[in-house]
Amino acid sequence: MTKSSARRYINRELSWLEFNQRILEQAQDETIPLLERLKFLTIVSSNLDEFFMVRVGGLQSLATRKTHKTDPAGMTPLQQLNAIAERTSRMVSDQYACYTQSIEPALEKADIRRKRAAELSDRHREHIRHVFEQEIFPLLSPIAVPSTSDLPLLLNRALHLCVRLKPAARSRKPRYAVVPLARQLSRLVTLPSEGGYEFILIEDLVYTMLAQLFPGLSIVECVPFRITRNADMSVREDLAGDLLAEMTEVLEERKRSDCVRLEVDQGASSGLLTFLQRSLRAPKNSIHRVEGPIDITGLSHLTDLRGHKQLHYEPWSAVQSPDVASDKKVFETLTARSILLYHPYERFDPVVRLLEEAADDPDVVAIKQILYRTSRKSPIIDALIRASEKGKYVTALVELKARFDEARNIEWAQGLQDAGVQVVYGVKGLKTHAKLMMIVRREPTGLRRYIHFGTGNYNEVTARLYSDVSYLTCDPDLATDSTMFFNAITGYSQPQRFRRIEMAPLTLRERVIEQIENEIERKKQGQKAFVRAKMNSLADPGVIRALYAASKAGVSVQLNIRGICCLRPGVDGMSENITVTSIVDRFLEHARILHFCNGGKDLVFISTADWMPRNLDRRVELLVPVEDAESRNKLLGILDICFKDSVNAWQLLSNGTYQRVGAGRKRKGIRAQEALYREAQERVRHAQHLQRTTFEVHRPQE
Amino acid sequence: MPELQNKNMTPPPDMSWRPVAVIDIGSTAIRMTVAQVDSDGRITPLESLKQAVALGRDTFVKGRIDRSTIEEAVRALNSFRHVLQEYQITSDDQIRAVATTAVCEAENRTTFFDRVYIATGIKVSPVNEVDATRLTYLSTRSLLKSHASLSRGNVVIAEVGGGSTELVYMHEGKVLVSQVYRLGSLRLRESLEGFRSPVIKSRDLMENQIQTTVALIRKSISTEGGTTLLAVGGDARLAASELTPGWEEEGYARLSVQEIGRFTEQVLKLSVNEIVRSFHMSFPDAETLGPALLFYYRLTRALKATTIRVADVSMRQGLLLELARHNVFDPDYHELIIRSAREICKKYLADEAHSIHVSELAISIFEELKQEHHMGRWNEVLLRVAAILHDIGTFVSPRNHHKHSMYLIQNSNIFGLNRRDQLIVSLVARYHRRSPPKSTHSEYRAMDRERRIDIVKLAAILRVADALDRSLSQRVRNISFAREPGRFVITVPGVDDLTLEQMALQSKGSMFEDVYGMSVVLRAQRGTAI
Repeated sequence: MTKSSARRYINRELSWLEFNQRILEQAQDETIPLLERLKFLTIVSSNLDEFFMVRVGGLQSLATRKTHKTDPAGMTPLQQLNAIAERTSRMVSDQYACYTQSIEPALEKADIRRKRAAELSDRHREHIRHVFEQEIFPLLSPIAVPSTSDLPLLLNRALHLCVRLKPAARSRKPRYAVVPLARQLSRLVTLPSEGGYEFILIEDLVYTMLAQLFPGLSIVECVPFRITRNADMSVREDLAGDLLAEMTEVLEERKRSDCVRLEVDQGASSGLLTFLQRSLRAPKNSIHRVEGPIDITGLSHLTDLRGHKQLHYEPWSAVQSPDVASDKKVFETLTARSILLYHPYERFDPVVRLLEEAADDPDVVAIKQILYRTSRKSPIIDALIRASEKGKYVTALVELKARFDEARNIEWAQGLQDAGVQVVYGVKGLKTHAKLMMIVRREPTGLRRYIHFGTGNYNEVTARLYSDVSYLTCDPDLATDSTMFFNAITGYSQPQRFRRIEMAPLTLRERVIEQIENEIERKKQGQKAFVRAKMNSLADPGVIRALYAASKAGVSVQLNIRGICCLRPGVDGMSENITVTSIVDRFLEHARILHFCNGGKDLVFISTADWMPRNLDRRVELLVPVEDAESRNKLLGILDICFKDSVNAWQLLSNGTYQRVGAGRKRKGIRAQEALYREAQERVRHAQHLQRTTFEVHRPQE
Repeated sequence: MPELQNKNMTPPPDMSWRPVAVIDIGSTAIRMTVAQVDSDGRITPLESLKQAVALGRDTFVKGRIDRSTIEEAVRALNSFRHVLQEYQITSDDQIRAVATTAVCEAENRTTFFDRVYIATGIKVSPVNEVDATRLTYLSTRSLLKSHASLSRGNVVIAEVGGGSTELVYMHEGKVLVSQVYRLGSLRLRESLEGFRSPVIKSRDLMENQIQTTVALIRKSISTEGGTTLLAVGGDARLAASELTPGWEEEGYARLSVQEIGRFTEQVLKLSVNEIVRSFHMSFPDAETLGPALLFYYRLTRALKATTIRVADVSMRQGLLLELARHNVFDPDYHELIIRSAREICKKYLADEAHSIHVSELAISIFEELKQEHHMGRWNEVLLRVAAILHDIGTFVSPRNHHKHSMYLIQNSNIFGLNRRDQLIVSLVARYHRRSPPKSTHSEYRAMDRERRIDIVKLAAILRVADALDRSLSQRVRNISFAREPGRFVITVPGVDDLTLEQMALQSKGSMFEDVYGMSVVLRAQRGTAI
């Protein structure tokens, strides 16, 4: 590890782990309702799963190849793996401490009780026997493993039991068997209860009935375990994109030893553990001994339990933006003004409504739409199909590589094609991450193009959980740019210079750096200068260098970055003018908003791109200026609130760890998400109030 | 046009605008611009598309376009056709596709045009030198109009293309020279590769070739009082974008000669790969960047200009204007055409006063007969040009001078007229005397029926106008017209004795009677003599 690199950059994996730590701290936060805390705890687990499959998997392959190429922070793959092992083991033990010492007891108090084998009543036992015989037994197929080389391929991330049996007669060698707990089995089995909710975990249940699986054999030990495998890199390019080039060469050799994590119950004997480790060829630092249920994500069903309102966040329902008139077509509203929506505080339906109106409008000629991840029963897809059937030219760019959604994407892509929609699968070698919809409509004055730029997916479900920006406009310059953007990604034309927008991987990074340099230049000339930006991740060395230069020049840089941040803030002579905060709260912060002082003529952009090499070099992304005053001011207001959060915000310290903003003091002050929610509600009330001061009279129809 | 997809859309309601598209098949790429035109001829661009097709490389090296390259062009045009379909651009008056030198110079150009038509339904027409300079000028016209400073003094508009360089030289808003030089950026690059010369040597060769052409240009242009160089073309636009980002807002960029010099040196040092990466260009574009910039730079130097202006336009703007103009009255532009015709009239020492007078008489008759001939503004311009040039053949010999006029016109460079217009003008001039059109006259026979009728209608008027100034003294003026059954009466004030004109009419007027069904009668208006 070189000192100067480490001083300049924070390792991206460790930074990501710090993000997961902040989620864990939400779970530990007793001011948050219990089931929400449990949900945060399960998110910590599912995040780690993905992290191990993709990031650790990639690093391990590199390490086996003895690659000494270092990351920007100067760490070799092996150094990174060691640091990750150290950090995750601490995190996992904190996570389980939280579960066993805080959450489980609290659940019990709330009458949600987990029963262990030893705690079962006769009634419970009878019920269990019944369930086991009827529903579970047929799905279990224990596998005897005579030697460590005989272990068959085990399912990735699935729960298994490892059973040690007494040695056969005249032998001292223990015998082992593995019982896969099939995916179809529910992790929680509800027990008959006198009051409250009682459940048993499937591994505990099977344990009590184990004798039935091994008749006539004597069981010495039974422990649950789970392995996590290196993901298939060829499809998961989004997650390990920066490793991809080197990865492809090692894909083959990797297949042999692809266990990146082995989780085993704390109580496992050393003999059993050695057996598992050898059979799975699990590297030493991949073993995690877990004190509590393996794979906490299985408990997420508890958060769906009915009748525990007080254990959840108070419901925040999204408002219908008063800017979108309900009695007019969205087209008409947009002809008069552009509209900016901030989800999930404001509803996503105006976007869906625009598309639905377009499908039925006789003057709409063409619709173009990028689909990345969309919901299962999507009104967006329905509208596209209807539009095509009504004779409009509909083009859909379907990104098949969307993480873990490939199968679903292929399925509805076929449906679109059958309806006559022209379906394109995006640009070779690049993942299309931009969110764009365009509607071409004939109007008396000419063709008008209506555009929707988003920072989030066209998915009404995630639009209720992610904070994202929608910008709806018919600005002619943005319209022309959007048309040319579509022509570029559908192959009708080579990319050309745009008027207003920037596109990755072409000019987006350059433009961002140019704007940062512009601030530096203005500062040098004695003007006011600052950069404010909100995004999910910052890892691009080029942009980070520009930000350091800005800091050195005295430009104030305020960053609100939810996840990874490789920039090291607050270091004298390098980054003392940079602050980084992160908000982790009930909604997933997802919008990317950039604000440059620009000598007082604020430049504000929304974007789909995080500042990471994978986004700037290997994805099709958009950077869109928001220039109309109302929308721009709304974005500035959102940024203001985000930077004021002192309840659920963390500040990144120069040592790479995070500290709650206002730590040590009583946590009072502004909670950004709540403030945004209240503000959205207030805006609606205000608009209704305004309406009430003028009377609109119902008149008989003429 | 072959159908792509059968979309049964409701027909567009009656709207005051129409979508149009122009396609430009160049030496490194095929480009299309889609725009909408309203009833006043205002153009709003909607989108532009581009596909790299290396036609120039084939033509400039091998003299012909490879079959595989033709297919690439077909693929590119087919992808454009999807877009045309979306805009419902289907009829010929909504689309204009042209090909420049790379196709026009290929020996198998006919194969190219035919194949493209069969595969895509797009009719591509070749752009000749006259078209090219006209389009270059047209594309810059609104810029010149809105920035008065740009058209003061000497202005040279230059477009360095892949295969050739178009040049329009203007003085105080008048087009004095429009010329095409057979030196282009791609041709330069390819010819160097032909020499297989080392890098350093090739720079010298390039400089040499450029200097030869620049010297030729220098000869036909006066730099007295300073010259403004207005560069048009993709390579110049790229330089402008790199050197003055955001320049498109202004409509043009102003680069100092030092800036463009430094940038040119920087580009020439880069490999094609490096250019592609640094400027996000396609490979074919990257190949021409260096030679084109060097050419602009040398030209700026030779013209002793301190800056080079770069216009944010392309030939497609010119094409769009022509599509949009479609019988829209455009007096400024017509005036430029007339001026160009008068320059030619002077060049061949024709009686200018007579020519101008005949053109004015012809126009007054043309106006009077609107109900009879139903011809539009454009034919009026052609008639005027034909009248101005009808006697230039006397430069060769008074005998059969109408025939000399014809071929001189056909081989002159009249600004603003395309090939077909020029043919019409030459034939109208030819038929100003002697034999009326006959089926043995090959040029006439080659025209389509509609044009043949136009030619006859115009020539008949020209004959009468010419007869009216038989005295060559312009004494017949302020004429007025009247209709009597079977007669078209021209009343001439201030002239007592019209015998000369009467005699001339007798030999020339029969064509008028054949065409318009009226005999021409001259009457002197007495008592008003001045």
